[in-house]
Amino acid sequence: MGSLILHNLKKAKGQFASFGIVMLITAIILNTALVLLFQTSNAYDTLFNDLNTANVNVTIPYGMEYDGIEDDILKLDGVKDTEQGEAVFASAAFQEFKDAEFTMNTFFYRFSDERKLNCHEVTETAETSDEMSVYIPLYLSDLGGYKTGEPIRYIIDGTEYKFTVKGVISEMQYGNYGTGYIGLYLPDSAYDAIKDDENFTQVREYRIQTTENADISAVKNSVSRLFKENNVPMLSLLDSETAKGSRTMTSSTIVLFLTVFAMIVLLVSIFLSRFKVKNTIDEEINEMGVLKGIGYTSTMLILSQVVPYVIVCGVGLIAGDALSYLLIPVLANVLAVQSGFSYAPKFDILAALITVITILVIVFLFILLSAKKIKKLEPINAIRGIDPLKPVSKNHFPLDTSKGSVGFNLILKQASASAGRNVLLFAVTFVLMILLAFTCTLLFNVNVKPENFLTTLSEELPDVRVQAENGKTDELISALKKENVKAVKYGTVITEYADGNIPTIICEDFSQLENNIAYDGKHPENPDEIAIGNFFSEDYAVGDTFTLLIDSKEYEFTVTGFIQSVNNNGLIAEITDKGYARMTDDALLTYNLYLDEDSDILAFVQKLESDYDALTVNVSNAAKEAESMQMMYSSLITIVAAVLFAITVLIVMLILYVILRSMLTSMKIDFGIYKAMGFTSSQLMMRTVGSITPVILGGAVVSSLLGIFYLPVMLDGIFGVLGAMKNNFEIPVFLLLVMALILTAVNSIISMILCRPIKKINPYSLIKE
Amino acid sequence: MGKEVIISARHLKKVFGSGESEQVIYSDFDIDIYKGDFTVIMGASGAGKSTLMYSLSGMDKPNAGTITFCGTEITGMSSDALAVFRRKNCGFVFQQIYLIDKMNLMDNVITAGSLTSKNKKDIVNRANELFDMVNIPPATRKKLPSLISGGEAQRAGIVRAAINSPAAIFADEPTGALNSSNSDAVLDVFSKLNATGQSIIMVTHDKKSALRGNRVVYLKDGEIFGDCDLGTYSADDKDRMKKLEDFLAKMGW
Repeated sequence: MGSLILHNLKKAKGQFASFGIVMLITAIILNTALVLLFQTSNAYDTLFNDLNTANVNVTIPYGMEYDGIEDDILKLDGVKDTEQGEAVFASAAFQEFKDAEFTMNTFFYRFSDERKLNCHEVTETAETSDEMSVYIPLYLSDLGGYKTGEPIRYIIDGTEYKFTVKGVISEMQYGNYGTGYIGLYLPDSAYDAIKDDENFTQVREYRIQTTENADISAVKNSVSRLFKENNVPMLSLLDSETAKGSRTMTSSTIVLFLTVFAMIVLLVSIFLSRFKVKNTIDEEINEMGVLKGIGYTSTMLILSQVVPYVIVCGVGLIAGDALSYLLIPVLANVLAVQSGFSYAPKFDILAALITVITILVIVFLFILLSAKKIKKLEPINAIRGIDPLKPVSKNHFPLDTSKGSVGFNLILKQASASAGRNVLLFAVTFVLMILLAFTCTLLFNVNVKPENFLTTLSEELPDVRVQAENGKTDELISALKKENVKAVKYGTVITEYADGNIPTIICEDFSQLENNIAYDGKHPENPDEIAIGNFFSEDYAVGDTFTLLIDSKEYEFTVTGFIQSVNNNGLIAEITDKGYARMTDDALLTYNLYLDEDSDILAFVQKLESDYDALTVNVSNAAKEAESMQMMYSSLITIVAAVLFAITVLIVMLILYVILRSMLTSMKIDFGIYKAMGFTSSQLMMRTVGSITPVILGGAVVSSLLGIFYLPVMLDGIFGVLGAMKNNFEIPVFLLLVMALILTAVNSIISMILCRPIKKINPYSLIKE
Repeated sequence: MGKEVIISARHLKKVFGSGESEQVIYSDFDIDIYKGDFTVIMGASGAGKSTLMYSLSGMDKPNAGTITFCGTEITGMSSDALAVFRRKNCGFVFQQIYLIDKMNLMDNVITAGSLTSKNKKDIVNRANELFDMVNIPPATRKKLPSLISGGEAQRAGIVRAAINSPAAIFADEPTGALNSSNSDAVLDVFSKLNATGQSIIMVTHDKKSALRGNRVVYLKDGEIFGDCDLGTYSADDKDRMKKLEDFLAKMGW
């Protein structure tokens, strides 16, 4: 029995090696996904607890608090502890954030403040003086590209502030802009230098820790109610669950993507192993008949087929599991940039067990099912090569009557000789083309049509943003008219709703905008109308009343529709400028400018800055910011696409190897006969490749065409998780078809190489055998 | 007027294995095969009959020596060049028949025919003529090899070998796996083909098969030990068997 298993293993060692490599790839991907799934969340929670992070954080304008506010907070249900602190707040335009400008709502804290809640940990420092220096979170350091010892500049209300990065900190509340806020820590001298600057708003912060098992959302609502009842306006109200959700979102998306990828590869491996087992039985039916004849039982023969696969599968999975630990830290580092916290992944026994045991059991069951056919073989029939379950062969494409040349019909004959092989090839190509089509679509929308990608992730993408000098609005507008520039009054302000702050887009006319972010219903047109973000989609419907607050005064609006936003978890609203005027006397002074397509945006920005300096407070090149954001994603997605393509080609190569080796083995005698007749090796190789190419082409083309249907579902699913309920991606059908042709061409080249053993088949060996 | 030589082998050497396990099949071997002859190669097992036949046909390469086939020296040719050469000049009939089992008989023949002609109609017509000659009815021509008798399969094999009107048909123990009546039918086909001028080289152990040849070459110890001229085959030639048996007896058969 043992020797039979060893014999089977040795006999097809190349094919078993291919199968083992496919299993190794599956294990690498699945184990990586599982380790990230299990450990990212735990690492987040551990760091969250180590830094004694508050569960709810509220900021209010300094001096608006009342005596006994902390006691009132402590009396709320579910509150364990609270602490107050101070900070200054500003909407700061970070310069050179990945070579662009990026405006963020920023809290500046005093680094030396004693804290029991929301502690921070310095992970990197530079020997610089404290004067005008700053500790920044990992998010800014890695994603923004600000290094310790180097300068960081922001522009706030037209004034530039320059700091030196003194260190990098780990912090779990304001360490990532996914929440809509970022926190910086300043040494005393730097903090004191800006504390009284009129461009900054002094704020008081209340950090609230909840009891174990408390409903954080309920506590947050209670806090909001408490502040409202006491007429305390809130600048921000954030909870730890929202923060965690937004900070681990990229990680969750990647885990989801990897798991789907691993499942696809696993599916392919199962197809492959089933095909191989069935083929082996077909090829070795006589040998099995002899073995049965001399006393081997069906179970022994089944096991002799199944056990080699289980051994190879097990070895591949364990090796893949081990190798995944080379990939996991790399991926964890990439994710650390996105999530703003880093951790060192450890060996995960649960992930390893799930990866190895689940796949092993699945593969074992599928192979066992395929090998059960051996039971039905009667020894004498098997010796004669009679397979009772095999349908009688048919003479497909008779050469005397079929249309087309004999050569062409010979290709069709060979192609139709094995339905199982064709199904496998079609299925594998179809499935792998899904991966390529998805990657290709992403690449297309990020690199070729970046506006599709950017408008999906952003609210509006003007060419230039300008803030008018107070009282100079009309002058600026008439100047812009002279320049033939379309100007739309547009800006984002922070208002309040029942549970806290809400970024609110104000626009004079939403129909003038170029990016329609309404995914359900429509934008507001009248002063009493509002569109709200996907955060509210479960609690509100079109026609409902939604209340906004400014200075604790309530203003009712009718919901006209829902808008998407990947920022702030879809917690966003939009109203008209007339609607905004109902709530406040503050005039909106910011405009989006749209230039003609071929205009030089940089030159126009410079012109605005020089010629109209007296009319403007701030001018920013929004197109450049968008370009920078696109470059940031482009490089990441291009790397992912390249890796996916390489893995796809590798899997295709391994599968073709198994299929073609099986084919060459089963057709060895036929090839000998053909050669004896006078067919050359090249003719036979071309015919063999030609016989599988239509199936591969079919699978690739059908898959790419069906991409019209499945790609929107995939993109909606993945980007929906990110908050982009309506993505603007185009499905580049033509490009997908080109990709299908490239995949087919790559397949054909690989097949041609794998068919080289045909050259070694000697017709004389027919006789010798 | 002397016979025309179609295959001429000079100083042939064929060795299997190397070093201590080296086995010399033949060395410094010369032979001429004549056009229109039905040459039978006989000899004891291991005498190198099949090895010689496959060397002469370009299926196998000798270790040394030259083979000139229809005026072309084939010993230096590449495998692919030999394959192209075989299309026009050689037809093969094997003991195990070796029809392509997923093709019906007609397709097996057309596949070989397509190598020398692009005109499908001509190939089909020629195939039908040959099928008629070997007594395979039209319905059987549409059957897969697994669904017909061994005799029918072998006759179809002969049709395949003859479809390109090759300079020579090489047959390796063509009746070795057939019963007596099927053997006779197959041998009759060979005789009919030879009567049309087709050169045939056949390896056999079987006296009844050897009787069909006009020339019997006996191999022993890597040499031509005897060469017997039986004359043109005739079913009515009663002395033919005796002549053959006497020759074989002399050879130590």
